Amino acid sequence: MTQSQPVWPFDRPAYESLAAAVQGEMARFNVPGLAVGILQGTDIDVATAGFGNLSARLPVRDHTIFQIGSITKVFTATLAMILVQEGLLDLDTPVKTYLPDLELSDAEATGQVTMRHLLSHTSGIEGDRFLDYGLGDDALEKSISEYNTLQQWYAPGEMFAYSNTSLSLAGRVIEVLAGTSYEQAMHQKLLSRLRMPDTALFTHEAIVRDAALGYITRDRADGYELATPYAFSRQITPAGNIVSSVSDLLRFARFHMNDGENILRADLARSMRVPTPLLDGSDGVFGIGWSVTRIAGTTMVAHNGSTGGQQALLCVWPERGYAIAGLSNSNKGLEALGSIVEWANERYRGIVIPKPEAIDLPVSDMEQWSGTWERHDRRLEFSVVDGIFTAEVTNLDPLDVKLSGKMESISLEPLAENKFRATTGDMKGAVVEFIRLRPDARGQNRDLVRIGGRLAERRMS
Amino acid sequence: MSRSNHAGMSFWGAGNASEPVWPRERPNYSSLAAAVQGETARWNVPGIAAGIVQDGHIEIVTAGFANLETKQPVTPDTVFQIGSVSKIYTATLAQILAEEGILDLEEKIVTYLPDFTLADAGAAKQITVRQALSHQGGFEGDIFDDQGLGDDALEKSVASAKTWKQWVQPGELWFYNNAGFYLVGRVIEVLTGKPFETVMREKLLDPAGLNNTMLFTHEAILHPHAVGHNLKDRKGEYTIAQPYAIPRHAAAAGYIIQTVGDLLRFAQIHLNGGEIDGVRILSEARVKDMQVPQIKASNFADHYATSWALEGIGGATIVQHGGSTNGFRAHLDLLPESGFAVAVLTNGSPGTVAYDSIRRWALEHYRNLKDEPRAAIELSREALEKRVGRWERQMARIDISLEGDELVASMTEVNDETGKPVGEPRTMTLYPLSDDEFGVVDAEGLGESWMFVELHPDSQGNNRDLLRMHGRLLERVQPGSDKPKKAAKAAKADKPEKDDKGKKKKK
Repeated sequence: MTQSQPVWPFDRPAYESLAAAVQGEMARFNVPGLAVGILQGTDIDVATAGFGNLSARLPVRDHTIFQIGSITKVFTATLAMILVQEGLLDLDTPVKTYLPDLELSDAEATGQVTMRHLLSHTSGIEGDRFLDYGLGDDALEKSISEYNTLQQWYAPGEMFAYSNTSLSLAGRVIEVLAGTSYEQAMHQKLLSRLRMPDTALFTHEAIVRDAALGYITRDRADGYELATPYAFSRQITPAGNIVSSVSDLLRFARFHMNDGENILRADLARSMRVPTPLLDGSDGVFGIGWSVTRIAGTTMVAHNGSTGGQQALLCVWPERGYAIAGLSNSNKGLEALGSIVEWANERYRGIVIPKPEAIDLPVSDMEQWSGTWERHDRRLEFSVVDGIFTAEVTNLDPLDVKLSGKMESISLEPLAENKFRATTGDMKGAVVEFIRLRPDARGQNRDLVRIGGRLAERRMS
Repeated sequence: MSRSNHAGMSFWGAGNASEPVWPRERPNYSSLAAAVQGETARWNVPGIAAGIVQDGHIEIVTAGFANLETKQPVTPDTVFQIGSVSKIYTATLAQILAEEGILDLEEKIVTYLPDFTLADAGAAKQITVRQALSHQGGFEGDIFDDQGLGDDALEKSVASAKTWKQWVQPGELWFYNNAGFYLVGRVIEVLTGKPFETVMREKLLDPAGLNNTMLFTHEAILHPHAVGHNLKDRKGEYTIAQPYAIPRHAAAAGYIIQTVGDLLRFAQIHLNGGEIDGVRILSEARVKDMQVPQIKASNFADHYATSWALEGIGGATIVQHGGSTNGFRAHLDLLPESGFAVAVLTNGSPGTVAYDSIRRWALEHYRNLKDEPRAAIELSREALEKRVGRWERQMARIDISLEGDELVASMTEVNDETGKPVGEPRTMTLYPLSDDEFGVVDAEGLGESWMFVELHPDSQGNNRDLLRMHGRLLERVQPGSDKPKKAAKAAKADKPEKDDKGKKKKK
């Protein structure tokens, strides 16, 4: 008997139905609970499996609500478009016009950043800061007042880097223009008009509903721990605090598929699905709120979400009248959901999204990226170990007690001379892209790496 | 939403010896399990968690559902809102700070909050911490404007006190006062420099090992939790109560969420002279101090002590408090002399009747304490006519009329903004218990007494007729006399409704 006989992963079985796929992938990936909904034209197929709450043994049902995490950003972007429609907001006017007190770390950027930059992750503002500014209506405003301490990575519009802080700033602009709290504006201007009864923004709204709890596992073999706290702090809400059900998410998908119905003007709804051009004229990764991908002559707009212990995805193919929403209550849920989406795409629509093939890359080409790279909350040490390009990731965030000092070793496979893919660890599947700026807008030579959408810079020894 | 202490007062109808008007007959249950199951079913309460402490032993029984939508059952781990029973926690915390020498209960609130003022600035300067903790502030206490979820919610609420109406002078007359507890909560914040909830956790909940007790919704959602249910009638139609939480600024008056086991553990602190598992939380003297009568009450208690309500049942003094938030009803009784406590947590609007029945059963079954219902008396027509008229307070109006030889009260909820009635009036018979006290069965099917209070004159030299019901004051409104602007507006807007109501009553 070999000691290390692989029991995992098996190949995905050829499921015959969505219910079988959801049950099967829940079991295969050991996710506590899953809910997946598929919209084709006007037909909706929903399948659920497992438990929303493990200790209470509450099964996942059609109206069980999960945290949708960053899919919230598409809601925020849609709300912003409603303000555009109302004539209150212009996407290309510097947000400083709406927030005269705004002060970023870079004075020039302060005057340049627009709502379009914020909603397409091209603002250049350091994207991750999860401090707590309390539960009050002033939480967003307070957090924005400290944005002058966030690193400005590049000139607004220059490139893409995923930015939670940008969405919070956009949420603050919405507050000021709507004259209400962000949450109130969301309820009044979007959720109530779309009739989404399972969708909420506050824990006191979630607690009276059939709300799934999040669970965390280090490894699928380890079993699950309850994820705490339940939600992100309040100033993160425009970037990731919505809770919803698959039926409500499909309602939202249908609204976008139908070009805004009578709630948002069709040209505005469609404009959200156009990649935002960068300063050099190339296409960005995101439109307004949506990530936009062209696949085989058709467009997919999508967003993932990941909170402490819940992961979700929403993929919409507007030209095909097809959408899929998936919710899970595990920090590994996206693996199961991703697999179900792959299965569903092929089964229902014959879509196979090609995966870039790994290439052979000489060790010397890998070694050009060896060394230490950092941003405020992460250190990445790249090296070639036994011929495999490897990253040692260290959490530097002193406020993140759970992760502080935690190290993880990630193996990477080359996709191009400057592009790799993680094959192990929490970041499995994430693309690592090295960017050589020679010289950058400020006349300096800079080497950046983008991993999981976040930038880090080479530390010169 | 009414949030008040509430225990039922029992009474007989006039000349009818067959069955009391209140309480309604209860089966003679042989165990706590039977009583809890039976009363859950009899009143159609979604779920109940109840328990007793006797001789240091705890017995817990649960029944029904924590959430009728998800069908999650109530278990001993289920957390419920305990509503105003939280006031005992606030007072206990104040006593802990007093023991630390930081706070003096006899000191005036303005000593700690120099900017504190009420609509009656003179009264504001008089109120002591003790008075605030025993419902003697004399100012309007139902203050539930939303001050947000921030750490500054309580501060903002207390800053708005300059608009709180002064009904009577501090110490003059008891009536139930939530906002008095906000003042004490704010004093605690100022003295410690921390949010009220943080101080509660650090100085009381953690040291006492109350590990299944929460102060925030985001804590409760991670535990098996009951949701509140509002039932229209006993046919079972319900709505899940929203909003879940009372406004944050009211935390000191009613926002603890806990298991019945934790509530009984807290009760044990007060039964054991301030100690739990060898940890001293409070001195014995301070525990006793909290139970000393401070002011005579009525409606649902005989006296109020420092946060505790005192009620005589079967010759014993019960130290108790109830709680009522949106869709939750709760009650706690102590018999300090005999080391006995009974706690009942429920998640439905019929919970008041159910908990009152369970506590009465428990007092009788375990302690042989049986309430003797008070008998209604005959009053002269003149004495009855004296009570006829219109009585008002914010959001409510009561019209009392004489129908045959019975006094009948018609109670209407009023929208303060428009002065217009909301919904249908409710009518109730008033059974005379003395010249100025009348037994009624309230909106939740519970017996209570209404008390007419004539201040001729009051401490300010004015003649005033007040009606105290449900712990609240209403004032007689004389047609054409000087009265509050809002009341005048309300009376005027309602002329047609009065006629309608007259017709309806004939049915």
